[in-house]
Amino acid sequence: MTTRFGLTEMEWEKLNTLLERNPTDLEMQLFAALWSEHCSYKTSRFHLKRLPTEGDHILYGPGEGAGVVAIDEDTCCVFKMESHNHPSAVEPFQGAATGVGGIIRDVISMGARPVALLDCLRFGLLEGPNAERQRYLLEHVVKGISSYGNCIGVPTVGGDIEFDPCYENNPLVNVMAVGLCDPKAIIPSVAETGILVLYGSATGREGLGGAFFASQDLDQDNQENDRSAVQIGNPFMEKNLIEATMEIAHIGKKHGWLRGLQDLGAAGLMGAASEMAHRGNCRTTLYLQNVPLRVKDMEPVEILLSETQERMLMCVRDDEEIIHTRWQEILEKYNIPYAVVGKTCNYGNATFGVTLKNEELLELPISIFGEVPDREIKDMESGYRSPGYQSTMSETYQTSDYQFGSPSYIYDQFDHMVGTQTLIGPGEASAAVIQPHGKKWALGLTTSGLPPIQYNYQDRAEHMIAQCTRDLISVGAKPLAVTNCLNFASPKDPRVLHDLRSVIEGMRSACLTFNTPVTGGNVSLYNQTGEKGILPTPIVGMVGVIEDVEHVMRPGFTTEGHPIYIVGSDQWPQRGLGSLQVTNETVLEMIQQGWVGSCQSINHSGVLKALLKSASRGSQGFQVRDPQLFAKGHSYLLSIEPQSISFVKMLLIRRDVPFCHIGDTGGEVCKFGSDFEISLSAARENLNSSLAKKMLV
Amino acid sequence: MLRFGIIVFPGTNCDMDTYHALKHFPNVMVERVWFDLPKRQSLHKFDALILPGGFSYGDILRAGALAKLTPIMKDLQIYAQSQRGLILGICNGFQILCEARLLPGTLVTNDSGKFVCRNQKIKVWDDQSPFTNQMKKGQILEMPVAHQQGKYLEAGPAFWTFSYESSPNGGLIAGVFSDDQRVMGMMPHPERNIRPGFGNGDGKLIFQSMINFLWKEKSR
Repeated sequence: MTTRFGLTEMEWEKLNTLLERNPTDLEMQLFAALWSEHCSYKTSRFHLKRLPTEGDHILYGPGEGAGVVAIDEDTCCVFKMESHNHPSAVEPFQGAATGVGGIIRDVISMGARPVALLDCLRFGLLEGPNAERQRYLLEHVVKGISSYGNCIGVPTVGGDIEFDPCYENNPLVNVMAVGLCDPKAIIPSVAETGILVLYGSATGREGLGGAFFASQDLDQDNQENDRSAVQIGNPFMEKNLIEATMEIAHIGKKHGWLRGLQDLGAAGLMGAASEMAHRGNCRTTLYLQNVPLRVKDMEPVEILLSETQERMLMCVRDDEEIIHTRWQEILEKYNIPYAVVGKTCNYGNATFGVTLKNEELLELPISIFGEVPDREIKDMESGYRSPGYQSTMSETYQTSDYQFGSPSYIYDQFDHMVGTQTLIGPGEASAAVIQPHGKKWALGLTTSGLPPIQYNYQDRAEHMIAQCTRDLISVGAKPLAVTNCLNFASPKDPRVLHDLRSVIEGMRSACLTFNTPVTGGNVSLYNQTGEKGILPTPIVGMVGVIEDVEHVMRPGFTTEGHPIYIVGSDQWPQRGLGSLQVTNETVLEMIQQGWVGSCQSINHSGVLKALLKSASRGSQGFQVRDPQLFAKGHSYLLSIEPQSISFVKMLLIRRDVPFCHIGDTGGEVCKFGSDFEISLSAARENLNSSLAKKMLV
Repeated sequence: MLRFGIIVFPGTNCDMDTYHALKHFPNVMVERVWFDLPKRQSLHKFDALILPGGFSYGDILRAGALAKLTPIMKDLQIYAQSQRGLILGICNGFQILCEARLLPGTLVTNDSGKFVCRNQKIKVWDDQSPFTNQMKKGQILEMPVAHQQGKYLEAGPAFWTFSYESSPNGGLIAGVFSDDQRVMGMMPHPERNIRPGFGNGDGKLIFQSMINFLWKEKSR
C-alpha cells in the first residue's frame, strides 16, 4: 500500500487534495515524517480523545510540550513521560541517554527547571537462553541513563522495572521528567512576528528518519541499518542548554522579547518550525543556508528532518540592537552555537516557506499542518491472545527473586540526590518525594505499569491508575494528575488496537474517579519484531502533592509493638472504583492525623512482599498470624500508633472501609503464618541485592 | 560577615546545592562566581572558595582535565599561595584541584567501572585542621557520595582527612589536605547532608569548621 517515501496511498491522495496539485518529492518526504505515527498519532489519536484532560488544577493539558498542574500560587509542576523503545533496542546506551535528553527538553521548552527523572524499564528474563543479551541491554540502558542524567544534574528519583519474555526483542525505556516553574513564566510553543533562532548542537545526519523508524516494526536482520537512525547524546551541551534556556526564559519573558520556545524532537527543524507556525498562524520563512551544519553537503530534506539532539528553536522579537544582544549574550556565555534561521510575521498570507540561498524550495499554506490523516484500522472484538505468554510474576517469595525488591544495582548508578531536594529517593518507598528549597510542601512522584498478563485490559488499566494513587497516598501525597506512555505491538494486528482501546477506557474511568486528569504523554506502537510483539504495556506516571512535609509518610516498620493493619478491600472489582477512592481518602486522613506509623501500598505481588518491604526499609520484623485471610492487592499495609487504634477503627467503620488486624511489628525475624520465617537481615539483603547477583553471573 | 565564593564552570551542577547549604549558616555571604571572571575582578575578596561537584565540561577527556586549563585556575593558584583563605573542593572540585596540582595525587575510575551514588560512612583522621575542627579524631560521619572517578591514588604519602569505612570505589581515602591545610579535597558531598530532614546533618560540621577557623583568623 505504501507509495513513495512511506506515504500510504490514502495519505498521498490527501496531500494531493490539500495542495490541489501533485506533491513534490520534498513535500512527500516531509509529510511522510510529519504524518508518521511517531509525530501524528494517526492511529491512536481518535481513541486518546476519550481520556479526561481537564480539572481545576490543570493549567495545560495535552498538546503543549508537557502537562502543567498548579501546586501553589507561584509554582506549577510541568511533567511528561516519553518512550525511547526503538532506539534502546538497537543501541541501548545512546537510545536510553537520548531518551532522557529528549524529555528534559520538553520540560525546559515550557520554561520550567527540571527537578526529577523517573525511568520505567522492561526487559526479558535474566535467565534462560537469552539471558546474556538481556543483561547486556539492562546494563547499557542503565549506563546510558546514568551517564546522561547524572551529567546534566537532574536527579533520577524513581521508576520501576519488570521482566517478562515478551520484552526480549523489544525492551521498553520510558522516561518521565518533572520540572517546576512560576505559572506566569510558562513559555508557549508559538510563533509571532519576529525571528526564529536555532540554538544548540550543529545539525548533522544522525537520527535521520528517526520519526519513521519509530513507526515501524523492528527488523531483526536490519538492525545495522537502523543504527543510523539512532541519535547520539551530548549531555554537556544539554546542561548548557538547560542553563541558557532558563536564563532566556526568565529574562526574555520579563522584558517581553521572547515570543515562543520549542524543542526539536521528531521530524527535527521541520517539525518544530511548522508546529510553532501553525499555533501562531504566522507566516514563516526558513533560511536553510543559515543552519549551522556538522557535515558539508547536506540535502535540504536532511537539514529539515535531521534529529540531531540538543537543539532548541525560539521566536524572539526583531527589534535590533538592545534586544538582540540579550539572548546572544546568554548563548555566548554558555558557548552555545546559534543562528537566525527564519523570519515570522503575523500579517500577510499565512504560508510556510523554505528557501536555500535565493532558491525557494517550499511554499505551503499554514493550515495544512492542522490536517493529520486518521488512520482507520478496524479492530477486532477480542484482544485475547493465543496462549504462549505466561506472566512470570510470582506471589511466592524466593530469596533469589530478582523481580522483587528495590534494585539498588540500578539506582546506585543514578545520582538521585543532586539538587538536595530528594526527600524520599529510589528504593525507600513506593513513591519518590521532592521538597523544593524554601517550600513547606513536597511533590510525590510515582510510576506504574500493568504487569504483562493476559487479562481484561480495561480492568488492568484501572488497577494501574489505582496502584499509582495508592503509591502516592502511602507517602502522604494527594494524587493530582497523570502522564502516560502506551507501549503496544504493531497496530497492523487488529487485536492490538482493541487492547489499546480497552486500556484507554480503563484509564478513563479510573482517572475520572480519582480526579487525576491525563495531561499528556505518548504512544509507542510497533514494539514488535517479526511475529512477536510485546503484550500491551501502558505505563503511567503520577504527580501528587503533600501540603505540609510534616505529613510525609514512610513505609518502614520503625517501632516495636505496633499493630499491623490491612486497610482496603481485595474484592476487585465488585466494590467498584468509588470504594477505592473512599479508602484512599480515609488512609490519607489517617496519615495527616498522625495516627499511622508506617504505610506501604500493596500491589499485585501480594501481602507478604509488602510486609517484607516494610520490615527491610525499617528496623523491625513482624509476626503475622494467619496468612490465608488477607488481601492480595488494592489495599494498604499500615502500622498504627497504639494510642490511635480506637480512632482508626472508628473512622474505618464509619467510612465502611474493610480492615483487618493481621499481626504486630517487632523482633529480628519476619514471621508469616506458621510456614514462613526469615531473619530481618536476610530479608533486607534479598530486597537490596538480588538483582545485582543476577547481573554479576 | 564572611564571604564564600562558589566557582561555577560550564557543566558544574552542585553549585546551587552548595549555595543553599551555606545559606543555613548565619553571617555568611555566598556568591556564585562564573569561571570566566571579568577582568580585574579578583578572588581575593573571598574568605573561602569552594569548587563544587558536578561535571565541569561534561567530564570530557577526564574529570577536571578541561577545567584546569581555564584562566581562573591561575587566580586560584595565586589565592592558594597567598594563604589568604581556604579552598574546598567537593567531588568534581576535588578532581579539578588534583588535576591542577593544588592537591597531590590522582582520582581514577571506580573499580566497578560504574557511577556510584549512596550514603557512605567516613572516618575523621584529623580534628585540628581548618576544615575539621568541629569533629573528633576517629569520629564516624555519614556523607553521600556520587562519582564515577573517585578512587584516590596517592602520589607519596598524602595528608588524610577522611577515609571510607567501606569503599564505594576501591580506594581507601575520601579526602586529603594540602601541606599547609588550607586546601582540602573530598569526594563525599557535605552539602547534601545539611537540610533538615535530608540526612543526619553531619555535612554541617565541615562548613562550621571552616567558619570557626575563619572567624578566629579574622580576630587575630
